[in-house]
Order: sequence, then structure tokens, then C-alpha cells
Amino acid sequence: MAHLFQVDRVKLLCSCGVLKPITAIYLCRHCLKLRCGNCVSHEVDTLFCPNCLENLPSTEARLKRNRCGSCFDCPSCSHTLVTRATSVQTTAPDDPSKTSSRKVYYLTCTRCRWTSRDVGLKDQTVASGGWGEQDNEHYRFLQFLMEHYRALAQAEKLEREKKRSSHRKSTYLSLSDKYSLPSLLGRKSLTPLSPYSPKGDASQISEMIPLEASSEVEGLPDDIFTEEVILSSVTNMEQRMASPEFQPETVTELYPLRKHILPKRSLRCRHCEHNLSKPEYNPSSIKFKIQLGAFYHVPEVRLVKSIVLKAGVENGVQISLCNPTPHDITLALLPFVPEAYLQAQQKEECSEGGLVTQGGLVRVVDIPRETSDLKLTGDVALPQGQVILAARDDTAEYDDHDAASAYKDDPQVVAWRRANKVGMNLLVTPHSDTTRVKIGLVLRYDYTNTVATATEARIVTLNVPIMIDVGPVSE
Amino acid sequence: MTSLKQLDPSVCSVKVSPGAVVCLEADYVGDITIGARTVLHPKARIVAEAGPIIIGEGNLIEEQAQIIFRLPEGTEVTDPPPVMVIGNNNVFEVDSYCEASKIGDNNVLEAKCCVGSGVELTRGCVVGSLCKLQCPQVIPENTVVYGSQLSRRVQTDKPAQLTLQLDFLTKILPNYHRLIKPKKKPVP
Repeated sequence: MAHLFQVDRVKLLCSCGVLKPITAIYLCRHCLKLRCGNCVSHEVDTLFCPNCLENLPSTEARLKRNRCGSCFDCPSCSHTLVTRATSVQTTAPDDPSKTSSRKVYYLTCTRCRWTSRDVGLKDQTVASGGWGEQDNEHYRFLQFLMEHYRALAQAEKLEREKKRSSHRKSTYLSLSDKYSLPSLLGRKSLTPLSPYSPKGDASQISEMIPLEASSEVEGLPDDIFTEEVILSSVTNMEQRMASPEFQPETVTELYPLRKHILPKRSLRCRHCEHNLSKPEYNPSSIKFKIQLGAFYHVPEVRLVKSIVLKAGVENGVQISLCNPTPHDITLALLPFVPEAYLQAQQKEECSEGGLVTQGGLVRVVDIPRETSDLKLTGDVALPQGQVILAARDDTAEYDDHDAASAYKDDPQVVAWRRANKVGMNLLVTPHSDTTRVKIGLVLRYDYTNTVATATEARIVTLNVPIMIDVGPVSE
Repeated sequence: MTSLKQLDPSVCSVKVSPGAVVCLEADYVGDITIGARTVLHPKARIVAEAGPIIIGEGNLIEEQAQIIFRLPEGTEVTDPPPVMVIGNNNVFEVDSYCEASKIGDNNVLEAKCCVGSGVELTRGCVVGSLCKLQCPQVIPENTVVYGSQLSRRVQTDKPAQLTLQLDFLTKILPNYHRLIKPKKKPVP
């Protein structure tokens, strides 16, 4: 996939100023602007375990510290562990002469062949679950700290609530959930209203004894310079950092790691608050309810052949344009001047920002503009004139008749035409002081907006700035 | 019928011990000896150019696995020729490539791995899929090589027993493939 879309060669300039490949960019159909992961708001829809695909509510996930209860990762290579069954011979306790075979289960890694027997974990008699947690010596202290800060947060919150309780009452419950404070807190903050509420909150906070810093640290063990290090018996950095609370130093201390839970996210445009991407809730489904990826709405640009450019002369470079939409697209290639483009962008932003605040309905969170490397290291002569990209038609490849005849193409502009694709020749002249040529162009095209809004025109003209890494330069 | 399918004696001489299942539809070149209970799938490739290959007991050589004994370029064949010895209970998975000078017991060469010449596998070693070992070296016992970075670790337990798998294959393979018959023992 990554290879197909040439993610490292052709990049689109997002409205927030980040260069991203077409696979990582979205087109907001309401703002008609490119958006990317940097400038949209991410919302967690569901939490699930990527291995057993179990769906977890957020409170339960929080209790389990965002890890799955039944799936494990290999502590040695972080691959998912599988349960292996084996039978062992056991002697009956009442009659030692009788033996019976019993099924036992242990965890094993198919990649690096680590097993739970390596660390001396006892085999389990049940296929799933039963693997205990490793005891953390700091557990009680951490628990104490958590409680302390929870109480502190609650006290502060109460104070704030008191100050503005007159005019804002409804929002704080939803807020407490948003900032992932436990729901317990929401309930507790109601307690002052009840006559049975315990009044020990203030005393809880004062219990905290701060730790004392010491300048003395434990010295290195005596044998550290004399003993030879056996690399296969000590852990590497990734293995240590995979369990930050224990940080095992030798491979004999590697305990299975509970698998991290993953979120299904939906993406929302920050300006118009429409969804750009919304997955289906079911963890086993890979479909989307809404998916406004740019590769469904923006003509895709690809380099047809990778070539080595000659310095100082014009080189012919062929690109292909592909129409992913079911409508014909008229497009033209325009020169890209980074400075002018950025200025225009800023101006537009100012006017747009003014509009939004006047409306007052939408809360706009400003994203600071990113600055990308927009230095062009080659001049490009673009073909003049417009080209019509045929609509995408899945049956076209079974058709015999020649599509090229249907369009009156200027051979100066169109090199070839096949179904919904068009090839175009560019002439690229590398700058003298460069080893790798990057060119920029603006793809101006008529986008058929299928959003059912009466106010907006159905066909709108969009400008998409594209940076193409054409290739290295030879002398 | 059988004479048509018999191996060309001018190219190879395959000695099969009783109890081994050696499919005819594999490529054999040179002097090859195959031990008891070894299973050799069709479309494996065993090339003994530099000298004889002796394969031990209870090995499993899967489809498209290649075991090649070839002298490095520019060296002359000595007399007597060197021998490539493969021990017991090794697994050569699908499309593995082995030029190892010596292989001990209980090793696993996973799918699409490559063990170059001059490498010596001792005992209980696992070469992970797509891992390439090219430099001449001796792999210590129970080493597991895995991943694109060729990370290594030492495993504590031995690779799983092969007997069930081998028994199954010895039962199934003769039903669908022509085998090379073991040579009858000369009457004393």
C-alpha cells in the first residue's frame, strides 16, 4: 500500500501547513479544505483489545490500566503470545502408583520462542486467564499517591464549583468525564449537598509526606568492571522500557506483558465539526461509516517512472493523474510559489476566523500553523491548458473501445489516456546546487460536491498544492 | 513405469535407510545418504556437489527446502572429498536454504531463512523465517535468531518433539507420492 501510493515521493500540503502523503490526508467536504491528523480533533469511540477484539467500556479500561485481561505480549520481542497446550503426567495423591495425564497450558512466543516457563511461571490448568500480576513493591505508595491527588483534585474542583455554581451548573459532570477523572469524583462532588457526607476530605490531603531528595545514590556493584557481560542474558533497552514499573535487567526477569488496548478513533474537522472519519463500532469490523480520505476525493498524482535527472538541462518527467470520483474532473496544473501561497493562506485564515467567532456557535480551537520544508530544488515547466479526467468506472477495464477518442486532447498536454487515468509530461530543470530535485505544483480541479446543502455550489474549484520528490540528480 | 521414474545414476546416488520417507519428485544431485525416519517432501532440493551429504535420523525436509553442499569458488576438490553432515531431528521448513558446513541435532530452519556456507549450527538452534546468516560462524547451542535485526536469544526448553508430525507424514505421503525405496540390505 505504501509503495502503491508513493508516500515518500508525492506529498500534499495540508491546510495546516504539514506535508503528508495522500493516504494520510482527508478532505473536509464542508470546509472544502485538506485536513490531516495534525489539524483534526481525535475522539475515542471504542476501546478494544487488538488480539481478542474484546470491546471494553472506558471505565473498565481505566481500571485495567488500558491493558487487556487475557492477552499478552512477549516481553522479549513484543510479539503476541499464544497459549500452548501440553499434557503432563501426574501421580494421584492417594495412590502413587497410578498416573494420570493432565492438560496444562503455558504461554509461548512463536517469533523468538520465549515461553512462560523461562521465568518459572507455573503452567496453568485453564486455557485462558489465571496468569497473575507481578507484585510491584511500590504499589501501595503509588496507590497512596493516586488517592492523594484525587482528593486534591476534588477539593480544587469543589472550590471552583462554589465560585461559579450560580451560572454554570450543567457542564461540570460532562467535563469530569472528558478529562478522565473517575466517575467516582463526579459523585463525590455532590456529597456536600447531602447531610451524610463525610467531612474528612481536608484531612486526607494533609497526610502527604513529601519524599526527601538525597545526593547519595547507591554505588555500582563491585563486579561490574570485572565480570564479563553475556549479552544474551541481559535485557536490551526496548525490553526494559516495555515494563516501566519493573525495568528488568536480566532475561530471567522478563514477565509476560498484558496487551495494550487500542482505541477506535473518529476524526472531526475542527472548523465545521463534521466527521471526517468514523469507524464502525464493532472492533472486528474494518469498515467506516464515514471516511473522507483524500484518496477518494482528490485526483491522485504519481510518478510514472523513477528516473535520474541530469543537472542543468530540462528533463522529461511523466506523471499520471487518476480520478477516484464517479464524476468527470476538469483540471489544470498551475505553478506553485510557496511564499505567495502561504501569505494567501494566512489572509484567508484571518477572514475565516473572524466569521466563525461572529457566529459564536462553533468553538474553534486554533491549531498553530506548522512550517514544512517547502524549498523547491527544481524548476518545472507545466503543460498549459485544461484536461478532463474521466470518471472512475469499475467496468471500464472490460470495455474494448478506446477512451482516448472521446476526448479531444491536446497532444502537448496529454501523453496518454487510459480509463480514468491521464499521463502528463513535465519538464524539470534541477537547480544547480542540489542533489535531489523537489518540485511543486498546484492541482486546480473542479470537485463535484455531493453534500446535500442548498447554499453551496455543487461544483467547486479546489486548489491542492503538491510537492513531488522527482529523484536524484546526476552530474 | 518404475524404470522411467527412477533416478539417474549418472547424476546422483541416493541411499535411503529403512523407515525413511523420501519422495521421488525432489531434486537430487550427487552422493546423498538419508537416515531412518527422515521425511523428505517432494520438490525439495539436495545438491551434493562438493562431496557427499549425510542426513541423519528423524529429520523433516519440507517443500522447496534447499540443502546445498558446494565448495566456495576457486577451491579444488580434495581427496577424499569433505562430507556435509546433518544430525538428527532437524526441521528444514518451506523454502529454507542451507549451505551450512555442519548441522547438529534438534535445529529448526524456519521458512525462507538462509544459512550460508561456513555457518555451523550446533544443537537446538532456531533460525527464524527470512533470517539470513552469511558470515562463517558457529551458532552456540539453543540460540534463537529472529526478526529483521537478527536478534538473538538463548532458549531454555528444547524445540517441540517432531514424532507426531513425522508419524503422520510417513503415513500420508506414500498415498500420494512415489517414493525412493530403501536399498535392500546385502545378504551377509
